[in-house]
Amino acid sequence: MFQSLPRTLAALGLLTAVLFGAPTARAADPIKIGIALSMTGNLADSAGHYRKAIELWRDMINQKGGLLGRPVELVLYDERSDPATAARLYERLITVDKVDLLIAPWGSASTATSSAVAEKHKRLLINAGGASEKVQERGFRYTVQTAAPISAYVEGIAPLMAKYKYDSMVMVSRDFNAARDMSAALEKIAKEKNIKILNSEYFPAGSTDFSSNIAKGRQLGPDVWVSLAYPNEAIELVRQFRATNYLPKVFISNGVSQEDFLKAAGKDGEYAIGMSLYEPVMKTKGNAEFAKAFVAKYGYEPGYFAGFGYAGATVLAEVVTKTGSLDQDKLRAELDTYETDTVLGHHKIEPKTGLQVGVKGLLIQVRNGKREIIWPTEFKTIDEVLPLPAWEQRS
Amino acid sequence: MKAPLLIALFALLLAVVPLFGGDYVLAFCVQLLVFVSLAYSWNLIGGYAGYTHFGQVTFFGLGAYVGALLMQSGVHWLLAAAAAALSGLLVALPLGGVMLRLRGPFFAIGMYGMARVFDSLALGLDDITQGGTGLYLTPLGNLYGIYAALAVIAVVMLIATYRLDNSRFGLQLLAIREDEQAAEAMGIRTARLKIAAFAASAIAPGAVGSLYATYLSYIDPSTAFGSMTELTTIAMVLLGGLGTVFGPLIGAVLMSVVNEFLWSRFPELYLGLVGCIILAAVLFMPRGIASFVVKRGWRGLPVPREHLRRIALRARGAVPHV
Repeated sequence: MFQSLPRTLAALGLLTAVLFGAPTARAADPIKIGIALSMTGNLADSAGHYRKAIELWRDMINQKGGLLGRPVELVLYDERSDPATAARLYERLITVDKVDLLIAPWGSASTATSSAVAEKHKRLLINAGGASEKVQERGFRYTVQTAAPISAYVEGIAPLMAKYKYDSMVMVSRDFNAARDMSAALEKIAKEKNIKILNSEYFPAGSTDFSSNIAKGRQLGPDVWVSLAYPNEAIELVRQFRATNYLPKVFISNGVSQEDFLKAAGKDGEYAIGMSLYEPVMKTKGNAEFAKAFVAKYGYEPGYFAGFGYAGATVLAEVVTKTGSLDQDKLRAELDTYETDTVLGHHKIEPKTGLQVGVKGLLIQVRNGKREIIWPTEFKTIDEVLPLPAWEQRS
Repeated sequence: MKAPLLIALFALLLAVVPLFGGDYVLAFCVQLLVFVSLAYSWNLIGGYAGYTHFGQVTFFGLGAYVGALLMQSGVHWLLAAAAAALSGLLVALPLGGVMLRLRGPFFAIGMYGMARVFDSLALGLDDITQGGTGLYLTPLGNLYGIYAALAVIAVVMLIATYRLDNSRFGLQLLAIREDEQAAEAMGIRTARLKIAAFAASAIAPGAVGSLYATYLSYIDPSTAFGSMTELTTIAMVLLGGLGTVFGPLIGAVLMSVVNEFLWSRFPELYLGLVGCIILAAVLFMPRGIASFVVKRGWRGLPVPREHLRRIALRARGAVPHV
């Protein structure tokens, strides 16, 4: 094998030339869409769903003949759940890779830094994964939100509490920007509806021990426990509820609304209520097709992390098709008034800030290992069971 | 006179980068220069005084928050960086007085704890710092200003390290590193010198932290007090050469390049590769690349304490041939 080294090298060289050097036909030039998202680090799990949905979208649109008659290619980088790396990679996507379009990273922190880079270069950034309203409120012209805004996450809680005459809650949330915005939104609602917030506290990202939060909850005895968190934290919470034999009347968390929660929490997760923004059973535009293709490709049902990715890419593709152009200013101008329906529901932005105002929230309950919609009534698939059945009454 | 020549070359290189590199190259250099300054600062206390620790990010994060808060209230970003540098110094002085009573692993771990304390403060004092939401700043129009400021700090750190390497203060620190009790017995005021070195090592991280916040136009606790920032800095110094003049620079450049070109594309491969590089460095070059090169007698790098050696040779009557 080693005698033929020169020949091997020559062959390798030839291969490289074929792979990288060969000029491609002009007509089939792909449209490049750049995204940097977490493949490693503490957001890697959630960003994985977002990425899968966008990759699925690429396959689906390419099957239908691409965008403006050109195939779509994704340029993906790992930003390591680090906002600084995200900023640098968007700089690279824009100036080195010269991508045609940009989709934002997963999470509000990285969206905050990368939107500043996009703004500097006057490039449209579809904010498909950063819910924090602060990102939009900075007044950046080129960042447009397709992800659900914070207010949508919490809007189902007050109606549910009113129905059962529950009037007190505690909030125990992961300390990240979206959660703080959600708490603020929830506090506003609570004031209007006369709901008592007995305690509001935050735990740092990566926490796994919630015993002190649970002890406090036991003492305060709230009707409703709200946790704005990621799935891994929601899983730990219900496990520790069971281990310490504690249960509020209602447990609500956005972390419940993902496949990871259903899988890992198992029986302990039954009856937990999730804030959600997307469910595969919803009869929204293109959802049946998306959910079916997603299950076929990845073997599990998409949650709202995946829905966000798909909806962002859909809106982007629609305005590109409508304007027939990749000109950033034309696209941005079109987006001012552009309204459409995506898998998440209605898409509409506030023209000045680019803030999403169309998407509405849902509440789901875990029943027999599946997510069922309990609110709003037009999407309802099951009647809720409340208060949560005590641990000893469960089989 | 090789070292001043190399320093001049480095400064020249930094001066021409913005002329030829695009925005991405500049962004990469900003990141690189942040790490060069952090590596040189850590080298002062960890390399020369022998007090390795895992808490330098304390001053980096502190600087980032001090700078960001000042900028939010309308202070110019350069002034904010200067104030952040001062805050690093002011916090390091009392902190050093307390923490440097510990030695070896106790100091190393104690400083790690200190970084976590500051991290928790940034999360907990949410009335001031906005907790996990982070602070949003108005971005600057371009990167040139920040790049220039960081380049100046990096060159100053390099020159300062070269001067230290050839000074009485440097030798005293080395004596502390080799045997603190013996150094004290010889009349070196160890406590005072250690605190001085520790405080000096906190100035640049403070300034750089503030510039980093300006560059990102955003700062949150996990970015400001990131363990990854800490570990990367230490790995750079160890790879390049602990307690050497050019080691931190070599380590920072090498790791940043590998980092940038592999991690973004092949995250899984990257982590494995960095592990292999560090393993190879520890096995074959335990004192770092800079020491390895000098030991082999390669002509690229000057010998350590070049100037002092020449004086010693002259005292013995021999003619130096450098």
